[in-house]
Amino acid sequence: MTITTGKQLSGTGKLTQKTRRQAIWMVLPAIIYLLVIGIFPLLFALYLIVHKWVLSSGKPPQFIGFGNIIRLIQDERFFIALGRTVAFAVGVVTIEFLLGLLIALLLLNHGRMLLRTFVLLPMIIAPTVVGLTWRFMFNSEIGVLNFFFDIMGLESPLWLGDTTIAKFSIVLVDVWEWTPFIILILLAGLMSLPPDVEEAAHVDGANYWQMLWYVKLPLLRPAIFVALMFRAIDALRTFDTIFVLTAGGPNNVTELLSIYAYKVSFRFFEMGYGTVLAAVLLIIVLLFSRLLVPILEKR
Amino acid sequence: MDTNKKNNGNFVKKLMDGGAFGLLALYILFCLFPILWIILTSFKTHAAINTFPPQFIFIPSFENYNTLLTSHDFIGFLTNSIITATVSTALVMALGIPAAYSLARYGIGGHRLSDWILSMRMFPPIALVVPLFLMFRFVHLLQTVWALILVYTAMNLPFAIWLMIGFFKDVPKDIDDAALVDGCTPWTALWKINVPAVAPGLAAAAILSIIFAWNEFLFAVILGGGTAKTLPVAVAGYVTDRAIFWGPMSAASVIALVPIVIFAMFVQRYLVRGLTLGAVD
Repeated sequence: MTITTGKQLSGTGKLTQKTRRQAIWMVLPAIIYLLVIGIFPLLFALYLIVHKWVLSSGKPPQFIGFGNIIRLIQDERFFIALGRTVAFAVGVVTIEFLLGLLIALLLLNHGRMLLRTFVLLPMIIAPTVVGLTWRFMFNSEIGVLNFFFDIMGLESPLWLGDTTIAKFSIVLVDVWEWTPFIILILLAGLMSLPPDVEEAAHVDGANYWQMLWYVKLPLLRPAIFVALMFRAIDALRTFDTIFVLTAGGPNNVTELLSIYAYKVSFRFFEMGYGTVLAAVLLIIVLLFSRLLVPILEKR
Repeated sequence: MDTNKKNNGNFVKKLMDGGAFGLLALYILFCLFPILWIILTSFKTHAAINTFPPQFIFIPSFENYNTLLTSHDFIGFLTNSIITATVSTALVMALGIPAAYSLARYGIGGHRLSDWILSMRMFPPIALVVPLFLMFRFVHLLQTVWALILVYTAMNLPFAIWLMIGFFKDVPKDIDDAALVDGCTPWTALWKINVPAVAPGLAAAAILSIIFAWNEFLFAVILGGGTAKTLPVAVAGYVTDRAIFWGPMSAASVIALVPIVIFAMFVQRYLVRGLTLGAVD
């Protein structure tokens, strides 16, 4: 669409050469800016990937070729973090989708604008605030969640201290933080469904569930796809919330790939290997985003 | 029998409605409770916070806010946050508005360019933070607000351009074509016709950019820190392995979230569009 616009203008004659030149000048500063701050670091990352550079040692970077890559494929901690990251992403996206769909449908029928405003709060406040608020509520001595468990006569779990429960605790926090995102997208999708479809289905005697399954969900498919893709990408990239919540602990069971990459880079100061770990995440995310790009461009 | 069935149906429907409302209420409570809890906590004294069972009714104390707002350091962090968020957003708009207009109207670079801008939005910050750390270290910009301003501009520019392309495309092209024929340059067409026409959308893009910059943590902790600490880093600094100060943490959190909540109210209508890069309206 954008391309035809350009062609049409260039068809109208002399004016357009000048117009076109001005149009290029309009976009150039932004492009140069993104090249310097966005793309140059990536090229620099390629340099880092083939070098051993331990900042704390004071030694200059040393070329090691595929050394970092070989280390990567022998690094058990990396594979565990990678598998954990994928499991985390699959887990949170599934739960958030099901819960989000349910709440979106409920809001569609019972929703007031005010309720919608409440619902979006968790995802707009700072991830560090989210992580620390939950850390406070999870606290084993003064945490309010343990108080609720006490009232119900249940034994309070060690939310962040137990190596099994901690994995579910970080999922719970992510579900709290990001289900609103799914709700907002699906609600917007549901509200834009043409009313005549629903009426026709009504006349044909479809009940609520049949209507949902055979009419609404298929029509909603594009919105669902967009919601799932965005969530999957963001779940794979998750860092802030979990970092302040557990920093990967206890015993590294909540160490996502982004957190492992952070530790290698800024606790052990291994710039080269840290970059390799982050690059794996970048490649996965970019592959995912390729699926999303055509949909976004169609609009 | 027929009426009986109908009554039954009504009853089931009412029951389901009640159940639905109950579920919804439960979810809203789940959403709001942590936020309310951190706000309540921020008004408790140190002693009140560290008691179990936790107190729900108590005499509010401004101890934590007093500590923060009379602390020279904290005022500095707050100032850093305000500066980085506003200056980076100003840069985003200055670079982004002409670029978005040009891409939307004149198709400069075609699909490839907008494609690339979009992919930049998906970069995991962790993949950029090491090279950026070394680059800023080299030019001695670490621990300055400038490092954060430069990075936040790059972080928000792709999404802002993408979002604004959508807004500019909403303006009928005929108006622009007519203006060009009348001797307008693209610049004057942009400022006199297009910007006023999509002003609310541009404001929404700016507010989203402020929100993202205000909330950002990873770049802030690695590139900023020290004298360039922003609120999210300060908040995290109250809870470390060595010492935990829930009181100041909660008060700082509330100070960090209040402006964001207010801003979000303004952009609610554009939030979905902004967060999905225009894929869902």
